[in-house]
Amino acid sequence: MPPIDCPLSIRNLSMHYHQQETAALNDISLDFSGEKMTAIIGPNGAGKSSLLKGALGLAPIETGRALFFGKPLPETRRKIAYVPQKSAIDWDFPINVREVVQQGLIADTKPWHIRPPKHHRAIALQALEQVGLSDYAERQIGKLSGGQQQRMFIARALAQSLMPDGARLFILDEPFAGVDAITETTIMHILRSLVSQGKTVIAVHHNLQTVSEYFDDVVLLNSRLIAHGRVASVFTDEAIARTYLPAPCRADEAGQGTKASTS
Amino acid sequence: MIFPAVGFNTLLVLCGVSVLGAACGIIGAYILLHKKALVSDAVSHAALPGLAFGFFIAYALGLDGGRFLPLLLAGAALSGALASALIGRIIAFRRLSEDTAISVTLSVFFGLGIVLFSIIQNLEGGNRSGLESFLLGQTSGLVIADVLFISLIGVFGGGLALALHRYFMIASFDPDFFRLNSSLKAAPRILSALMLLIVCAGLKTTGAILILALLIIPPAAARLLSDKGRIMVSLSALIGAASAIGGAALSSILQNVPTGATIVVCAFALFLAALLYHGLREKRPRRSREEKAQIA
Repeated sequence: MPPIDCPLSIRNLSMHYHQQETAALNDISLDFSGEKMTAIIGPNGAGKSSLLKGALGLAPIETGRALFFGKPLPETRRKIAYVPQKSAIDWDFPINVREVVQQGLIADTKPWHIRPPKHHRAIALQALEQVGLSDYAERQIGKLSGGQQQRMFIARALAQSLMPDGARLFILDEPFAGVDAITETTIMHILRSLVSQGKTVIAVHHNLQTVSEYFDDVVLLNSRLIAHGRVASVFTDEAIARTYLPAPCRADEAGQGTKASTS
Repeated sequence: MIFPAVGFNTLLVLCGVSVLGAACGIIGAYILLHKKALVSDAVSHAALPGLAFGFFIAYALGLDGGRFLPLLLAGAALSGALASALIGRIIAFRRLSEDTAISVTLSVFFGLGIVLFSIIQNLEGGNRSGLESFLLGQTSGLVIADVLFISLIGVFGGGLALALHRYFMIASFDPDFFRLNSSLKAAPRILSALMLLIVCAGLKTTGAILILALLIIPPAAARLLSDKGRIMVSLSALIGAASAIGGAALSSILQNVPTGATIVVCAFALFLAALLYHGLREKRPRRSREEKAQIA
């Protein structure tokens, strides 16, 4: 049994390859450490996003299960904030930035409330202030830059943590894909402060250079689990080579920042 | 549009039709945002065979010579739901795309409906008068009970859709987020049910073939006019009501022209105006465009 306070524990998870949507995963078992930042690293198609989606019940899994804080997902939904890949969103949708952030509080309303409670708006604006988007609250989302769009979704996750009994585990799919340097710094700062408040962050990451600087733990993945543990002890050239390059003759290319935009 | 000679009856019909138009505009707006416009096309066409089956059953039971409205509408709702479920099943195989599944389902159900309708035409002793209004719509055939029925369904369907606004918006905008966080998992299914309900309610007014126009054209026009969710839905309701009133009035003036057709003509005129407005606005610099959007 996994420890009861483990934010996410995955047991024997296997998934099929399916068209462009999910990659194959082979018998993954993992206990993510609480109050830490963990990076999930691996080449294109290694199943980084699929692992998270499978655990969250957003993609079909073949075998295995995932427990959040020691319980199955339906009982702990409020404790989890998931930030999707930006590319999966229709940016022409008639909705403004504050409305998207306020979506984070949907679990705190009941279907028979015609209008959401008044303080929800204040929480949304507070979350927007934390990511530096206060001036953009009433803007249609398509008018934001790529970095601002990503910060908006971080703000939605923050709103989820600001409601009573709110999010304690943040799962982010490529939070730094296609964002500017300022946004990357802002997001890192926010994620760090979440961890210092006792929250847990898990992020799919593609830049090998920044792993040691940003993260406490690392998961190396390529259809199967290659390594998992402290960055200092696990994130070695040898492990990276085994993750990215199955053929030993290409080992000289290991360690270069392999761009993996989607997986 | 309304002449002094217009009587109480016509006024009542116009009221009922405008409620129907507004409800279609509201529900259609969420359907459009949910990218299910084509599914509603299939569902409305698929109402036909169910309608015919309802007629057969009522005919066999000797109810009104077959033209027994509750059975007709129940049949329509059932076959519409069946078509919607069939599309879902075909897509679930993951070999065929959604547009293929929709085209197959739509043509099969509609073809079957036409076959059954021709059989009804040759049925002896059946009460067929007015049955063709279910194809293309005819408001002149509406009685007060029909109008009340349409209005009630319209108020209920449109009201419920508005009350669930934020659920529909999230389910359409970010389905994964919705599945993870929403306390109302059934919202997409409720939307489909509302669509089916309003299609059946509108069958006699606009007909099975053209009710779709009332579901899709007003929200499409409204989408061109606004970038804001609630404003878009309100505009869509207004345009839907205006098209329905205009169409009903036009068909009563022109005589013998099906109401479904005149409603489509009115809706299209409004859509064209929205398109022109949108085109003009796009050409101007960004700031004036935002100001315009605020006015709209």
